[in-house]
Amino acid sequence: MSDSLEAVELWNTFRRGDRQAFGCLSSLFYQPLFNYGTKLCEDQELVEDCIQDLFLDLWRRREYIGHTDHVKFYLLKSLRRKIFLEKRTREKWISAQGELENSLEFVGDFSVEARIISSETDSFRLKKLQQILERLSKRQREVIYLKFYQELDYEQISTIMSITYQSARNLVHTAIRDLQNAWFSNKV
Amino acid sequence: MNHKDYTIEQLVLDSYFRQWVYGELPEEDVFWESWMAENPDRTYLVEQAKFIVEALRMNHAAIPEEKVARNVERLLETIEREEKTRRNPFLYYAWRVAVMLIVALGIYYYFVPESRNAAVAFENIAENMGLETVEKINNGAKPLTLSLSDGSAITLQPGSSLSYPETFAADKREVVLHGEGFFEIAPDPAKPFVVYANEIVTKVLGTSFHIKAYEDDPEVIVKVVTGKVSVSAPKIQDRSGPAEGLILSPNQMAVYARTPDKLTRTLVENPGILKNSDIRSSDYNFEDTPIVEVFRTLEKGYGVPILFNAEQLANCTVTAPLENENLYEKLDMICKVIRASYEVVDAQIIITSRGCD
Repeated sequence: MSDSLEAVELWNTFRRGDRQAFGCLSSLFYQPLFNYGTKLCEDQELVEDCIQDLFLDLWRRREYIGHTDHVKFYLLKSLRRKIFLEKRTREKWISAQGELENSLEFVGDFSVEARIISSETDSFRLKKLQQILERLSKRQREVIYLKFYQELDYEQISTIMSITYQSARNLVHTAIRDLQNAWFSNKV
Repeated sequence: MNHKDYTIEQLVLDSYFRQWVYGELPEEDVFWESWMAENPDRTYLVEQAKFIVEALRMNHAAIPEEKVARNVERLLETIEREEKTRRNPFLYYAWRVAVMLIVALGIYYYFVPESRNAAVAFENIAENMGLETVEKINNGAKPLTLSLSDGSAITLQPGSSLSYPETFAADKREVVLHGEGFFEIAPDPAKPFVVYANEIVTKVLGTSFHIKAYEDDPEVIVKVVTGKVSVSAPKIQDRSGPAEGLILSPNQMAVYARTPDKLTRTLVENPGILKNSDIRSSDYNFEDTPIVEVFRTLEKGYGVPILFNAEQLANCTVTAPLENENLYEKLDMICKVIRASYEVVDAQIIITSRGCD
């Protein structure tokens, strides 16, 4: 999915050195970046620092960056990498252990709106639902998040998360299928 | 798209469907309600899909808009500083740059005799003020904003300091700046606001301007943001006789070079559209527009005079969407079209062209 015309325009203008365009670009994508960042890392300050860093790097390297129709995808991808590196750096100082977590874990969770669902759901079904949601892997949650809330396509998601296109599709497919089971669960 | 044949999964993956489930569609949009009414055999599917979509709802951490604005501002400040450092090697080594006088305020051209002293006995000014003076130094890493008794606000860059009286004198407001600061001065025609910074005296009535005055810098620069200001360099005046200062308009910049003593005027690095201009950004999308009108629009929008030979360019028209470009980019494009070149001389744009025949 391409970004809006405005975003692409801003991207091109900022690359030519327009500071105002750069400011607009940063404002435009700040929320989605912060949103994704906090799903990857609970430390909001770290996320903010990474976003600032991200944009500064972008400006400094503007002459070497190419055209793109998918600005948000590019930014989300860069942010994920930045947060990963920053976390690793900070953890190096804190952790006494040798081995460091090699992958970035998705910390976002589902907010089971018990109220809304329960109007058509009995407690049994709700319980089953919660069980299934808990069993969803962190990768499944991240794919769902990127697909539903950042509206990326499977191709982009597979790039960001370093998984195959097929994996991305399967992760979503399995999640939906499992949740369908929760629906049927009260039908004994 | 034939929704009739949708499976549950396809419904769940349809962002339009999800918007409906989350209540994000406008009230008038009854697409899904109608669809369900028309396809009662599909209601069952919709219910399941709805269940799943609601189950996958997530909460989102939001960052307040003001914080976003502030962070973006910090970004812009940082890149501005970096650009300046990159451009002038002196600036890199001498972190205390010469005074940048940015005078923005009314057309007041005013050379005060005491400013002769100012240049010579810079340090004495503070003593001479006599009034109870305060010196605020920014020892931190971030800009520091001070409020003065008249309502003026001065933002000091790290390492800079400002000396000023707790309460201003009856007939004028005088302060001494070391380093760099952005001034937003409350208007008071009866009490001119005077800033002493190294060899430059800046007099304003009420305006916003940027002054940069570091000891070791070879240059002193004044940048006008809004209004007009007068900048004078007493040293030059002492030599050349009658007071001859410069009057700067927005987007203009005065540069005082210490050796040799010279005060010149030019444009700021990235002229912005004037705040009070009634030219809209869409006005910069030219379609077969005669060049005279193009330049007039630019002049009004940026407040920068453009000089060109109207006769020679009589046949030139411009068709180009330029609302997103900055001033120099606009000029580049326009000059390409009319086969011309431009240069900035004394804060004016001078166009040289062979014409469009």
